[in-house]
Amino acid sequence: MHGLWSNLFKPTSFEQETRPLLRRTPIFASLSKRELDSIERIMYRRDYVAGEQIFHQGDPGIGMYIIQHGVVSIVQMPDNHVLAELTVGDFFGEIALLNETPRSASAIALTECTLLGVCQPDLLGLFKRNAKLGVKVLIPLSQITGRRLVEIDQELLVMHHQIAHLEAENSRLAGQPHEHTGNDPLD
Amino acid sequence: MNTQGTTHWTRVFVIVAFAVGLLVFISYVADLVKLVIVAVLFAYLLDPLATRLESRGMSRTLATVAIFAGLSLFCLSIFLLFFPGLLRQLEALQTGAIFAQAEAALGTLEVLIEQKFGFLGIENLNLSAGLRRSVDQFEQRAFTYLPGMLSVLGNLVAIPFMMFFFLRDARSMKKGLVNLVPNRYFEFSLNVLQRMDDQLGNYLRGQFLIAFIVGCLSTLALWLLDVEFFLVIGPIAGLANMIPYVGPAFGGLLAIVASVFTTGTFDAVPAVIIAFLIIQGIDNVFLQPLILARNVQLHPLTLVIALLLGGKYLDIIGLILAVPLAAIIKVVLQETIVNLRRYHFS
Repeated sequence: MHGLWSNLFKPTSFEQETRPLLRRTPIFASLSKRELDSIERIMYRRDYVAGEQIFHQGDPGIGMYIIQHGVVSIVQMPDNHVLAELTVGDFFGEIALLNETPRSASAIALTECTLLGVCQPDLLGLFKRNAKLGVKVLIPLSQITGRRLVEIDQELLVMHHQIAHLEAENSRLAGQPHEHTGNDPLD
Repeated sequence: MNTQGTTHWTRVFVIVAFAVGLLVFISYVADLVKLVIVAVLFAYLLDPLATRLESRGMSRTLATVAIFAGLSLFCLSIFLLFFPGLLRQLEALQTGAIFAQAEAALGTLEVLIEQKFGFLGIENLNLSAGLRRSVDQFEQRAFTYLPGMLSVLGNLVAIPFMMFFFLRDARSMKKGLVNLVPNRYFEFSLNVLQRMDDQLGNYLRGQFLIAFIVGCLSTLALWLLDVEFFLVIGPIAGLANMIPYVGPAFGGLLAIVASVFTTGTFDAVPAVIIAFLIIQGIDNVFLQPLILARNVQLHPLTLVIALLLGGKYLDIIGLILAVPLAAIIKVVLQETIVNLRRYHFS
């Protein structure tokens, strides 16, 4: 009897593994148990072997992935420049949830991986059915996107200063006075 | 020929063999396929309604039950509303009153033909005897149709039953199917499914909405013109409207035949023709542009082939479903080919 009782109320793999993982993902962090259940229902669980490509740079993006097990490498072509190595709890490809843009880099499984995929049409369908949940997901998603934009802005600013500095150096070495164009891309 | 070439041809062979095998299998289980197609199509048409109910806080199961309750209520009220009329029309069929009027109409037509075309040597047409023979044959064959009628009743139960589960579990079924797709085609398959849904959803719902409106208008027009069997002919005209070119003409022809056979005169024929022309005008000028704004374009040749194949393999239902099915196949192929070019498969 005790065995039956404990079996009936034994936590499922979703409660044990997936739900805590989703809670740690900033996009889904503020969702209730019930809302996390509906997110889980639209998620695809995919297993990859080491070296397998998850998506290819330039392909149309359709959704994001959360790493449940393993390590994923984000690589930029054509020189195979590794942008990041992501591990359990990390997520990638979230921009595709907002817009169908080509993937800016490739994702490759470095080890055996289990990923949870959320695709944009399914998520938008869920927002249609539950607008409150939509707001709870879209706010952190836009905050993350905004933060990335600020980071990229700062990187661009640094690069612009470096270019201006190099141009000035180049002009000085050539013995010509440097004329700044004034076309600051960040203005 | 190198190994790569051989592998390529092996793949092509396997795909062709699979397609042929699938066609043979489908032709063997055509009856079941018909039911599944109809159930899936209706569930797909009702999906936005279920989604809307879900957005009001209902669970999917409750939304599906609510839709089925609504549909049952609608069908029941239509049945109760028109039952006395339908019963009268069926009684007229049973007592043979219709055939007596038809015989009178044929007699008039016979005299007319013999008068006008006597110079061609047409005489003693005896159309009435032909009609009587056909009626007798029909009555004899009616008994052999009984098992067929029982299977129709079975279908009337099976289709809503399947429809319920397709409507309730559509999302988990889609998820289950996508889970079977290998990793390298995962995103590709999701993209193709999404684009198909975008294109087909509006088109199919539009087609059925137009058929419904044309059916209602035809029923109303025939009722106003006092044509018997308007409750049977109107809906048939609506459904037939989904068959391009011949469908609308078939609906009109059916109404003309009913009018001539039931009144015994040709008096109402011009009015019936005008009514059907007006309905076609409304369909082409208002309904098609308004409802099917994002139309899936199908070449007339494709339509004819689809109609022939649909009629051959799936009978009357095949004729009605030929155009939607052709549109589905076209969009599936089109989106698959377009997306194959956009994705890199490693």
